[in-house]
Amino acid sequence: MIYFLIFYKKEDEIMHVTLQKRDKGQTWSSPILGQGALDPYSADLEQKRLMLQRFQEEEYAYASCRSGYSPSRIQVSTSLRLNSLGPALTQGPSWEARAPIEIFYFDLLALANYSEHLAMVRSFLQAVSSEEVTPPLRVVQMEGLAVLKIIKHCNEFSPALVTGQLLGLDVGSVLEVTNCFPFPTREEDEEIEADGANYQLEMMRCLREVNVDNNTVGWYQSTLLGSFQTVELIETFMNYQENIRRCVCIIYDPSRSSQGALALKALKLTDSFMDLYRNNNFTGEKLREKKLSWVDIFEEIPIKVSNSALVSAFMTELEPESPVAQCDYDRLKLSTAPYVERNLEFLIDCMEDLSAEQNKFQYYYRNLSRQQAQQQAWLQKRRVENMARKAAGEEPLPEEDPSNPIFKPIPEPSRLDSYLITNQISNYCNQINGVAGQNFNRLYMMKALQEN
Amino acid sequence: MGRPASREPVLRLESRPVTSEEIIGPHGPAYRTTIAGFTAGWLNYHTKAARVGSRSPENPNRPPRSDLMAVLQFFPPSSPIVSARLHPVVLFNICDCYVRRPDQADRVIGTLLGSVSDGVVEIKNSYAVPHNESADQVALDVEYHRNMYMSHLKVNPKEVLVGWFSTGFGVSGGSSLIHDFYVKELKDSVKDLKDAQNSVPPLHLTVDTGFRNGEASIKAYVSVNLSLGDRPLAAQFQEIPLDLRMIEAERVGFDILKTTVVDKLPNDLEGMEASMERLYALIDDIYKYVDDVVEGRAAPDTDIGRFLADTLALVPKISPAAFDKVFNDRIQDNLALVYLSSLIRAQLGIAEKLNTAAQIL
Repeated sequence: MIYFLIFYKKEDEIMHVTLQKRDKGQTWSSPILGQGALDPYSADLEQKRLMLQRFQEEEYAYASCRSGYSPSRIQVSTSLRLNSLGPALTQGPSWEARAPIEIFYFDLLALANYSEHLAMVRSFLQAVSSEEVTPPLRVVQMEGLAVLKIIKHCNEFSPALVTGQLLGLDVGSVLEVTNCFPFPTREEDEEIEADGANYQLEMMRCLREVNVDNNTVGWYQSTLLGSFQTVELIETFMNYQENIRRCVCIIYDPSRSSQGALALKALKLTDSFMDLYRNNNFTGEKLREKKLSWVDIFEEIPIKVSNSALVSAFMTELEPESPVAQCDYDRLKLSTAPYVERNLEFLIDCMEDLSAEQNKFQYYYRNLSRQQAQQQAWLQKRRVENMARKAAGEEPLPEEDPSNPIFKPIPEPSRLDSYLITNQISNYCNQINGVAGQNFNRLYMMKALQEN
Repeated sequence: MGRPASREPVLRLESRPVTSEEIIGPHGPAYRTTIAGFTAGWLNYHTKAARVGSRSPENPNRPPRSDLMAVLQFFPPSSPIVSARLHPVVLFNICDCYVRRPDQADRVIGTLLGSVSDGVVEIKNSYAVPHNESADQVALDVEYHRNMYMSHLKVNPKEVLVGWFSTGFGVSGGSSLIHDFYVKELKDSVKDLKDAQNSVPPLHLTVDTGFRNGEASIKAYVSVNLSLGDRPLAAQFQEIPLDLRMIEAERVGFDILKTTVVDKLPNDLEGMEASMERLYALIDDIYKYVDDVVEGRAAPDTDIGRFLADTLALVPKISPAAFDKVFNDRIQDNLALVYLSSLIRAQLGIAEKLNTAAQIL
């Protein structure tokens, strides 16, 4: 730890020492090695604070050299007050002070004082700090335990759809899911709903007692053939998003797991979509402005699976010796017809919904163009009339008439539904494509076997 | 039931310190607590084996010393548990609880949930219960256990209390106390549920997280009460066979559960590829084996031969023309599917373009 002494003064038995670190923006866990280290959380906070300060200074230097403003004085800020500093400093050879030192004010950073640029700088700061605090979510790291628990819960209740809560930690750009617990199946009754909330609190409290991470990081739900893109899902997302900064939804598809695939997906809503949803703005114009197409509603986040060393040791020890596992049988099964059939059924339903939505839009556009034509006609008439009045030397009538029903704007239907249906359809298409691709593999393999 | 007590003189026992030792029961090692100083010679098993007249397997040769006999009675479970099945999620949970145990704790204990049918206990779920253990007493957070149990019942009422788990090797001193607690709990919960089917005694699962003898030993025990006349003396923990139900884990794939970090979940085609490679390797192995046998390099094994013949007979005999037809039909079907889905996707693309064009108007 190296610091430069800037100045010190002695007044009323109190010595003020101001030191500046050589490397700005670097956090020290303690001013003097081995004395009162900061805990990691405060160290993190301190680091953020220093980053801000550094930014402020740089921003300030930039602003002052532009405007010719120069700092009149350095304001001394106190951030750490240490009583035990005396011995460490007095032992130094160049330190002359022998007077009893009671309190030291110890400054980590001298801050420049700025008055007029503050407001501008602050807005910059906010932009920077919000970026600093939330790096984009890149990976969802799940514990094997959480994966197994989700699968167990979803499979046991399949084909009913179930949900549960994910617990874990938010570490930088990684969201760790270390545990989860299931929700009881939903009831419509309000009383039972309140009961459900109690259940959730109780469960969180209990799990915290046995040292399980008790931060909510999202929820999981099972799905049938990937039909999860609904308005409810988005609403749940928005609810969660209000309370926790970062949340994901893990989707598990039991029907696909019978095909030997681990159908786990981590989803989140994209930021631009959330903005639009908050303002409930799904008109064509807004969507075009934001360049948001149906692909951009959900964002899939890659999943990593991690296990503790203990679990890994157990599994290595206990793994049965057989060279083929259940998932191999599942994958090589030739009969995929029921799965494809249901997929197609859902697809057809969705296509019908989509065409209904399309009709709605056509109807809207037809009405819109009819209205525009009416408006034009009315305007034409009014202009001719005005011309006549002008010729007669009368006051012209106004060219707008808000009381006229043809000027009432027709509400544009929301595009959210059609976007969701489109997403759904593309999902089914993907699944069908995937299965068909696998079927080709299987069939050609069968052919090879038969020929042999 | 068993040997009537009146025929033999009954030994009056003074209260002596109680120790525990290991004996070999019908299903392998079992633990019981015995009375020190008493010749651990002849114990009368009131189990099935005893009823049909055979002696306890631990010392078949030693004759009863009728002058020094005490009738120690084991009361068998009311409906005996034959075996237990452990689902991997329970194992994962126990390991996780152990990793997250409090600083000073040596072991973690907790409740096991599951179902019972035909003497087979399926252990499907579990949760840890905080406890405190010192040399001579065990404190268990009973309130916590009950809260958690009620919460779990809300989610899945079919999963009921079946026993408890503990980490560590074998049964230790405090275990019988905890076990007594669970016996009582189970009786109470059965009363609550009015479910006579579940009236089996709890089982005790031990998971050796320390790998004390170099292997992952997971054992299940049921408790048998030992009493002298009317006085309950001790409980014997009898090991029962434990089956690890790895099917679910297999579904997920061992590759994911075995290693500490997996960067990416395998997608459909990668999984398919792995499976095919495995199948290919197996076929290769069989070829090699058959070749070896034919050329006399390996000793022929009729069992394997018969098995191979059976497997080959399973392949349906279809004439090449018929197979080609079936094959081509299936290929056509799949092609149609791919075509359909591509067509729809193209439609979606066009629809979107048209929609944006319409907006500009």
